[in-house]
Amino acid sequence: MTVTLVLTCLFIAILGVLVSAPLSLVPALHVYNVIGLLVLIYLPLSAFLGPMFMIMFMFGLLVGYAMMNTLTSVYFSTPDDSTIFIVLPAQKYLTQGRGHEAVLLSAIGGLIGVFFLAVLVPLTMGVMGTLRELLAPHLFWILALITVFILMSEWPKDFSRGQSKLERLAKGWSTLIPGIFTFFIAGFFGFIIMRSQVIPAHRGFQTLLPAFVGLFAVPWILTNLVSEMDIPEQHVTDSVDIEGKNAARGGAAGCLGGLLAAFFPAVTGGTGGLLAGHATAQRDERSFILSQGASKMVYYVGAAFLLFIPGLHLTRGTMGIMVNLFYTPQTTSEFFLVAGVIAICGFIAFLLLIVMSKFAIKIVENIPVTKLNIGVLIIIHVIVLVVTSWQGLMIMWIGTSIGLVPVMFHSRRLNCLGVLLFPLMIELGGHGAFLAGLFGLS
Amino acid sequence: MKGITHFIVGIAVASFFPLAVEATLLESAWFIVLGGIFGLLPDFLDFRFARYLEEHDYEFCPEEGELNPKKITDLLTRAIDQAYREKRAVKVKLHTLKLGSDSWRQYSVTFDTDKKTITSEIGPVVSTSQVPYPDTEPEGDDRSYTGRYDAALQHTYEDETKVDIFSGPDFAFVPEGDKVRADFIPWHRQWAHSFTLAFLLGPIGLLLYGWNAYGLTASMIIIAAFSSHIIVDQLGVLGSNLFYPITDKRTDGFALFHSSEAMPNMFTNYTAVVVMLWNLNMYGLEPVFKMNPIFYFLLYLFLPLSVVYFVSRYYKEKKGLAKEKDLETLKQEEKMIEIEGEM
Repeated sequence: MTVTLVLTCLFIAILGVLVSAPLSLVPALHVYNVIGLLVLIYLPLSAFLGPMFMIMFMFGLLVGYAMMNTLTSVYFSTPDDSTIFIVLPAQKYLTQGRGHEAVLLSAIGGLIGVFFLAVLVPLTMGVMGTLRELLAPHLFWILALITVFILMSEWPKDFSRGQSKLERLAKGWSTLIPGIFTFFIAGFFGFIIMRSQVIPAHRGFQTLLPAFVGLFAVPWILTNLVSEMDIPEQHVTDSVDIEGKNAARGGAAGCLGGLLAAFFPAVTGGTGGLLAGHATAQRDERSFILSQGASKMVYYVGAAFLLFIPGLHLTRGTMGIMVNLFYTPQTTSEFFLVAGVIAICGFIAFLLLIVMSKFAIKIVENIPVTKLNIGVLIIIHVIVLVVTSWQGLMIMWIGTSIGLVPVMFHSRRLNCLGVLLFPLMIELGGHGAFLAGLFGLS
Repeated sequence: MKGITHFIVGIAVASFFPLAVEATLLESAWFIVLGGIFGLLPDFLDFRFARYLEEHDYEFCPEEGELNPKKITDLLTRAIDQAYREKRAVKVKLHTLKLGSDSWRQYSVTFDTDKKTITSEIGPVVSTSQVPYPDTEPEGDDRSYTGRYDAALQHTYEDETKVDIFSGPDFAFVPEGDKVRADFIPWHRQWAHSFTLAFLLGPIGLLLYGWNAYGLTASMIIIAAFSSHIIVDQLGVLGSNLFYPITDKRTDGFALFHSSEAMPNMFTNYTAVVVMLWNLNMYGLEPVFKMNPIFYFLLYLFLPLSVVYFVSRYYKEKKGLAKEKDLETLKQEEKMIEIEGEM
């Protein structure tokens, strides 16, 4: 590998980061949609452009997005599957004029995630290979356990008022039952859209986009519209108030959660971060936002990075699958090249995020909230229509109706992740064909 | 301990059963999942059922516009003195006040055991995220009221108790000798945290798999995982009612650590995962790695945990964070943390 090649790769990757900056401000546009389209364009041109250049551009995009997708969650309330947990604390910060601080906290987490990927993951290559081999046959019950934990750990949000024990019990479960319902209805929804070809075949790799947008992003926008949320003037700060030990704990929990998510299918960065936060007894809100930043960085970038780890070559995440379509990593030098690119791109994305956050503040301060939310809703519809056609819009609206259940009944939105967990658990457990038969699916 | 710790320990316990690991691999059986479920079940029963079955002597149900701090203080002082006078536990529930879809009126209660007073204070309107809305703090002297009680109260939780969102706190004032002890969430760690219930639940395994090796394994996993929750909790300060209904109150824990602290939770989780991985490898169809168990546990368990422990201890000593608290204070803190919804 020559110095020229390395520098060219780095230049292309940085270009990817720069491209990701404006894309990260577009609500509902996921980096995987962009990468999917890029690969479709690239495949016929692969004879003219070396695969490593394409991969570097994709890594630049991915690192940039993993750092900067916090923006849409904090300022526009349009989370994806990995940022759903940031929205609630971020809205609190936003309504206090501290949206930029929430972004910075998440960005620090992202930097910790970058350090973890570039420095610590290479040191644990051997252990990860063994873990993969050991745990691969156990995925079914691991996903089942994650499902059970999500359902059992939901907290009742009632008032404990009632004349009798039975009345109090019924009121308590009035928030838990909708949560369980949401999980399974989202699960069946996911199972149906994965098993059937609702989206036209040539757009099949975008199947989950409308479901995620419907489940996670649209309900937030609708809630904001109904509650007429007011966004005050935002304070732009250069520093954040977080103790070193809380930052370290949040970062460690986030990296662990991101790694879990990258390693196990159907576990997203948000879920992984949440589980790891529980496991490390995380209580501080700032530490939580930071951990979610670290988690999504390790989840998105780590999942693709696993493919490059010598002796592991684990295909996880859409980017890993896409790369695998046209290239199989072979050498250790490629692995170290990718590690270096992640580190440099991560740092550039961090600096870029600060600039983009100030730009996003200008948008939310200058456009009335209602108009902003309506605008975001229109953008979401346009993107889903363009990427997945009218069938995608139908899926999005069904997803929205499911995503509104936890909003209406005060249960956890996390239950919407049944859309991924349930179908995969069923398939890995060998029950897919049986359930498909019940639904009349192939 | 936190819910996920009990959950992971339950899974680790299930992995000790060779038949469970083998059947899980060959038949996608649910044995190990049972370990997680029953490891978490005691807290699930408490916070999803037991809390609703508790009867109170007094309930404070506030209404907006009529939220009078004197009423709150009077109710609490009356309950304390009544407990002392009638030599019986008096239970009180303070309800929250919801004003709109995302707004709640906050109020607080502070006990001063030296002056024998209780101060109730009406606070601002807060969102469900407990963020105060600007300019909603009531004004005037009548927003707070301090009243006296006569009995000697043992109440070691110094901070004010805020009542704002969802379900409010409950107290039991329990006479003990010449004092009255204030007990938060008295229904917690009672019948649902007893070995008695662990054994009563055991036969579920037989119901699931029948009277055979699978059924017996499932039953043993259920009993062991449920018991692991009680044992792990017992290492903290609060303890559990171990043999309900034979015993009628909680047996104090061993006070080895504070169950909500990060370190004990992390250490327990990590230990459980390392042990579980060893078991999965040993009882799996084909071992993935071959290693001397002493070397394995030294390298992957004791070495990393020792490093983390000594670094953390050094940090605490350097910052002077190692503050001694008395046992009763730790118990109350443990309960307050658990009711905050972090099972």
